[in-house]
Amino acid sequence: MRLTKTITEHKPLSAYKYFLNNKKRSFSMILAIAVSILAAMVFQLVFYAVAESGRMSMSGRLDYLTVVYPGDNGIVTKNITDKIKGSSNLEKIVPMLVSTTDYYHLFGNLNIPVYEINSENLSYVIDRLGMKLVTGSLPKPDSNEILLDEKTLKNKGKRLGDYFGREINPDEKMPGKNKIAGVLKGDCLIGLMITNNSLYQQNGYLMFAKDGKLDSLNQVVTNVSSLDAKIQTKEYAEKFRKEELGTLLTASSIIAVIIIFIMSFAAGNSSYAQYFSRRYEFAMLQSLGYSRFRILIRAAKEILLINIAGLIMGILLLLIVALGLKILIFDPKGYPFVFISPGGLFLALIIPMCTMVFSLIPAWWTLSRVDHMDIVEKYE
Amino acid sequence: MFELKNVNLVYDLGKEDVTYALKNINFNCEDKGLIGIIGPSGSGKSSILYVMSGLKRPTSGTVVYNGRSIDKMQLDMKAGIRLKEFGFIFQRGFLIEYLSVIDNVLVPVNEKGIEAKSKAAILLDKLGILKLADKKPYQLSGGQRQRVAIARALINNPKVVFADEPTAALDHKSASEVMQILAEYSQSALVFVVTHDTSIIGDAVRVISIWDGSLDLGIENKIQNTRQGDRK
Repeated sequence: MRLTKTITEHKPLSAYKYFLNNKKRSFSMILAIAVSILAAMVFQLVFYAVAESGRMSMSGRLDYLTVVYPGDNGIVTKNITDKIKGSSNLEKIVPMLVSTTDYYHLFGNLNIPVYEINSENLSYVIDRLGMKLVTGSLPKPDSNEILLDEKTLKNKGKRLGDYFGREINPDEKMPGKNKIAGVLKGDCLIGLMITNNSLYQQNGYLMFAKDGKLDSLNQVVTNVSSLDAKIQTKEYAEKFRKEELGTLLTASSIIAVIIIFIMSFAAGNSSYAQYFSRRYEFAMLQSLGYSRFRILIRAAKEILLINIAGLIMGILLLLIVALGLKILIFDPKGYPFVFISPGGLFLALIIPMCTMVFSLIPAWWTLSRVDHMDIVEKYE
Repeated sequence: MFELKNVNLVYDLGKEDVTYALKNINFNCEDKGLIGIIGPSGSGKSSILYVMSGLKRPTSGTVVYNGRSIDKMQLDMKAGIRLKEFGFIFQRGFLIEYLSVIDNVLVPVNEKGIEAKSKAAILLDKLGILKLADKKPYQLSGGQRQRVAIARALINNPKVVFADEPTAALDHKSASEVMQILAEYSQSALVFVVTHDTSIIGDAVRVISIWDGSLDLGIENKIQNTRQGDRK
């Protein structure tokens, strides 16, 4: 007897044995789960990129500083500035002029601030924002040279030494023709320029708190009238993030729920068809002495194995697809990228969990309704 | 080992015309030997097996197995006895199509060890189908499938084997070989063989005849007398 072949490593009723003997049927289910996980996680990847670029454009800087813009009366009122200067939590005020440029993400665009500041403050601002100059040099004062973060640079499809501005592209928000002198790397989307001209505090400034005192300093500018000044704080950034991204997150959740619903429905149907076609097997096992519970446990193990395989395959597929997306789209376009976001991970796990539950229900239903003696007698 | 007391199995209970599958069945038997159950189609032969093995609960009466009433046991307990102490041979084999022959044989024990595999191989060898161990049921003839079912019934050394028309799909030679194996096994266990072919139960220590759900003692005695005469 060819014992080498007949002696296998698995029990005849093991889930693995079923899997090996029903590769086509099992693989189609595994593939469906894997593709759903992939689809859901790619959606999450895209939503994460949009949400993260929104965060970087606001919280990326407002976690480190507070921006004070002129109020509706055209200036920052002196008593507001005096109040701020009187705070023991203040480290420095950096007067500035602001203009904006565009950053296009997958569903629209963001306004990225470009601050024009005096040269003596440049290193301080770069340092306090946690940014680093990675290529190029600091801009020359009043020369229309600009420092741009690398994501915004890539998003514009520009390189070091390139020019951008409304003079070149009428759709560009940034006025003039500006040369990219250096590239910054860090957690925020921002542009910086230098001027030797005097900058006045009534035209707006960046407000830096002493270490760990930003929240306390921001208390000073709470409830300031918009006539006197317009303030962008950490809280403002958070509120903006919630409002702006709320719709996006809702859309993301709806898509996730739709994917889960479709997959659960499909899994339930496929499982029902599969277990209904195996009712003779269940009847035989029951007749031989296997209890319904034992058969159900066996079905659960089969379903678990298929779903784990689907999850692993889905994540592997995701790694391949995500790597492709990163190289071909995200990196060239300057989109923030993460292989598996928390939302994506949640979806990756919830999909097989739902398909498991919705596959088990028909298995249990079929088993509980199978009259094994009825089948045995008809079969006989 | 088995004692059936006033066993009735009634279908369509509560309806105007009830059908008696078994009517007032009484008999008992020892713990070994081959017992043939004969009768025409629809006479209730298979129903007796189902009732004795706990696959069906009698409408009234009691089935006692080793001093315990099978019909009063919980489902799980009955299932446990079926799995560990009984072996079943159904008329058409009832094999799992996606499992190999040897795996089908191992279904009742659900083991992967070398010991179980060797035992299955020995049984297949005895039944002349060892070379088919790796084949799937759809690659087998009706007779070969039935031999696999017999090997499956014997794999857990059952105390009782219930064989429902085990030779129905076999040619005469194969049928004799199968019955020889069952007769041999009945030296140490109780084997019930339901059949309508009296020629295959020559080794039976007792033949029970069923007619319209009732024991036909006249035929049973006649067969018994004939067999005693033959032995003389």
